[in-house]
Amino acid sequence: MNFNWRKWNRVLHRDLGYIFFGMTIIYALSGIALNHLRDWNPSYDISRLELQTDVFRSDDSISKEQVINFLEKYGEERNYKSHYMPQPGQLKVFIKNGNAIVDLGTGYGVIEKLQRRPVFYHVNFLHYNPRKAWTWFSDVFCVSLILIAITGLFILRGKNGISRRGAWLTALGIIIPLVFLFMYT
Amino acid sequence: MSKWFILFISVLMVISCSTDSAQQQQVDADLDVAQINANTSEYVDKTVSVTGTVNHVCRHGGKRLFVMSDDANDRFKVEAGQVGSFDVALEGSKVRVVGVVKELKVDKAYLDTWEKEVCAAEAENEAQKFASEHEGQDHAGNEQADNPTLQNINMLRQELVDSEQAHLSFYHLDAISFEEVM
Repeated sequence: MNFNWRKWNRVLHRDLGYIFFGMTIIYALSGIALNHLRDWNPSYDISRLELQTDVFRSDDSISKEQVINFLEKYGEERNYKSHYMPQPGQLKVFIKNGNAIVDLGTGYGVIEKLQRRPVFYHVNFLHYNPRKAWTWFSDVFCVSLILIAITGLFILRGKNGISRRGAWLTALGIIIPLVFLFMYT
Repeated sequence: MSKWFILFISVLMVISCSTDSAQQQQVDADLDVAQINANTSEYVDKTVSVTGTVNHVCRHGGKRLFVMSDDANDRFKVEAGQVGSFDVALEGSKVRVVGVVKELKVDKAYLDTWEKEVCAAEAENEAQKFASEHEGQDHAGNEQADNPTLQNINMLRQELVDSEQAHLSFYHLDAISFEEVM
């Protein structure tokens, strides 16, 4: 009985491609996010509101009521969690999904609010979150990705196959990262 | 193939659901932030729980957070470890983290290696900048004054000399699990 390796090559390529479509998108999106980590925070959209307040007249001890009174003006009174003084003359207030810092001497403050970026927060969470089961699953994905790449080389025959056009394009795809490697090392 | 895949996913789900919560974990000591700061070396490599208010969560990936005492005078670093990552929304919440206390020993050799790595990275950055700008000026030299990491290394060197010890110790909790407490 002849083993039809091309058939099994196609089956493997097709089924692994289907199964790991979602994972490929997750890692591709989080890869883009991580590539630009210096330019933005991919997980959170951070907004800052600069303010001037005269609610706090003394920095001896700030009560919860005073802080809530301060937050009322900015519609954050229901989001109060806790507060403390990181250093004399400075107040830090934790609110739901953010915080506020106020210089008690000058009354200048900033309210920082963080909002999860849709999609990017979640793909980044998965990329950064190496719990045991996920690590195994993503290892299986990585091995499968290698198989998808190798089996992909042998899907087509003829002028677009690996022996002709495919060879040039595959070589190009290997040469480009090698050029960067030589440039950067 | 799909049958095997479903079986694999089921096994993964069973494994991930079997992780103990912070309440179920056996610990060697239940501590607050001030207590662990007072005798940290005593708990190295032991599993303890630390309760405190989350003061800060790392914005990029939530790989670490700091818990502080109620009077805000003590802080302790917690690495996400088995937890994976912490949500920034935890800032301001009181948490009980169970984990293993780890010690990082910083001695002269550690600082030398660190400085060498920072200088190598700095030199590479300078070379790239120089090549891209095509400037004829000498960029070498004033690294120490500009680079905050090198300043930090120098500060640690001084701290090491002042301590008259062979090494400085920095501690953190490698988290196994955590829960929000009221």
